[in-house]
Amino acid sequence: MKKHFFIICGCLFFAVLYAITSMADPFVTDVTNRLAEPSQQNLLGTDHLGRDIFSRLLLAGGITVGLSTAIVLVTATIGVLLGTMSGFVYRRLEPIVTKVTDATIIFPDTVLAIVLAGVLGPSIQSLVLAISLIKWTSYTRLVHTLVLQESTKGHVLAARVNGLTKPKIALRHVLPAVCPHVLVVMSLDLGKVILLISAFSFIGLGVQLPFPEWGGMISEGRHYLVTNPMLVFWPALCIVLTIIGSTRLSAKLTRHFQI
Amino acid sequence: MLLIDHLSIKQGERLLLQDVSLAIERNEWVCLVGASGSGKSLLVKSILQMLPATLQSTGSIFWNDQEIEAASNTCSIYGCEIGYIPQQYTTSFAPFLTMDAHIRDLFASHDQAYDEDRIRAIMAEVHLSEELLYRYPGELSGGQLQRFCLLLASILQPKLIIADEITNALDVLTARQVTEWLKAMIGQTSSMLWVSHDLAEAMTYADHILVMKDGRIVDAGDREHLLTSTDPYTQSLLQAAPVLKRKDRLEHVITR
Repeated sequence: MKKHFFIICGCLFFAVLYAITSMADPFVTDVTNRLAEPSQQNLLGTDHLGRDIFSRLLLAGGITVGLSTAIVLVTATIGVLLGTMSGFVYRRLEPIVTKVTDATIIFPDTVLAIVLAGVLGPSIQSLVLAISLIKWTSYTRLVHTLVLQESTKGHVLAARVNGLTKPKIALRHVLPAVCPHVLVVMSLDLGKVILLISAFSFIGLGVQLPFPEWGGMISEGRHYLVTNPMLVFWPALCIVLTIIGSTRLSAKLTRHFQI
Repeated sequence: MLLIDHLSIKQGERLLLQDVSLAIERNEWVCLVGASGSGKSLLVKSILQMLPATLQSTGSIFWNDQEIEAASNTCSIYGCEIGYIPQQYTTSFAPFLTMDAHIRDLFASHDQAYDEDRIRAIMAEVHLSEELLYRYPGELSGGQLQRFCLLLASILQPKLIIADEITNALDVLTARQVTEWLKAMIGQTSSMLWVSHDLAEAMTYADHILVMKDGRIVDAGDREHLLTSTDPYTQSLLQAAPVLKRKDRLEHVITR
């Protein structure tokens, strides 16, 4: 099974490498070759401006997955830090952190993110900032609750009685128990954030032209839904597959950590 | 060395510990006896500054004439000067750290160099093989975990060891072994606060016995005092331990 996995990964790696080195420039427009059928030069055909769909899908994948990974990593790090500080290391922070997270959580997060992105103006930076501003609260709440649970465990109390300092106990005894839960939620969130980024780009608040983004590509392709449905199909398939991937990753992590 | 001065603990209006005072001197073995719910473990928690935030305490606890407070500098007392052997030894180790990592953390927290010779010596005394150091808690038996608890509590040679009902879950032979080993060690350097509900055990090993009931110390003294005590609760405890009904039988227990 492991051997097959490596063979498949190897084939995929070489296929992607071949595609990247030989594929067309994702930004170059060619109106004489618009809405072309798949060919050797354009593996998935071209869009309404004659740009290569395959190369744009790959670049959009890099942008979407890269941005969502960065957002999830940053928000989870903030959540872990604040949750651990307020729940264990520095309990005086608890009322402030709890009140702020409570105040943020009562708003519907997607609506809040759209409002924030709208206020900040359409750009990648606004998108990252808007999603990060709504996401950190859920991680902080999660970590805070888990830390409170962990801090009553026998080994944490024993560590305190053995004279370990609170930061050291947090690092050695609390966080190793909390992190598996956070990783599972992060893997699930990856899919959610990808969907959110695509939704933002679809309504024009996310990644701006000429950079490709799966949601933006769907938005561009929807005008040709009847005549050329593949313009919508490919980016939609990419979104679906990536979200399924993140869900499966989360399930695997859950099994691995036996949560 | 350890002095508790008029300590009371309340939960709302309910008094859980009532005006408890006691002193433990150097190389003294003090035993705290009482039924479940009498407040023994609560007293231990207050000494260890581990009371839940929902409880309010009044009174003072002094360690070497300095009041212990829930401040960060008290970290240096615990583990180093006061060792603790918990009742729940199976949950006292992080499942993702090896036993060696636990010991290294303890040394590092008190800025002491990892003393391999001392660890080996204590491991040999409590019949633990060296390879167990590199195992995780889940790979050890209950008895082995308990002996690691003894090792952790004593490795930094504390001046006081607090043992909270540690022989409860042990068979009589192992319980005796553990107690004898602790007695030998305490005799050398440390004092002991031994928490138990077994008066016979207390009579056998302790220099001074405190009897607790409903959050109060109702009787205190040495073996002779307790045997002739007129306190009804102490009397009932003596009655419940048949081997202690007669003084000559007690002497048999002590010299056994």
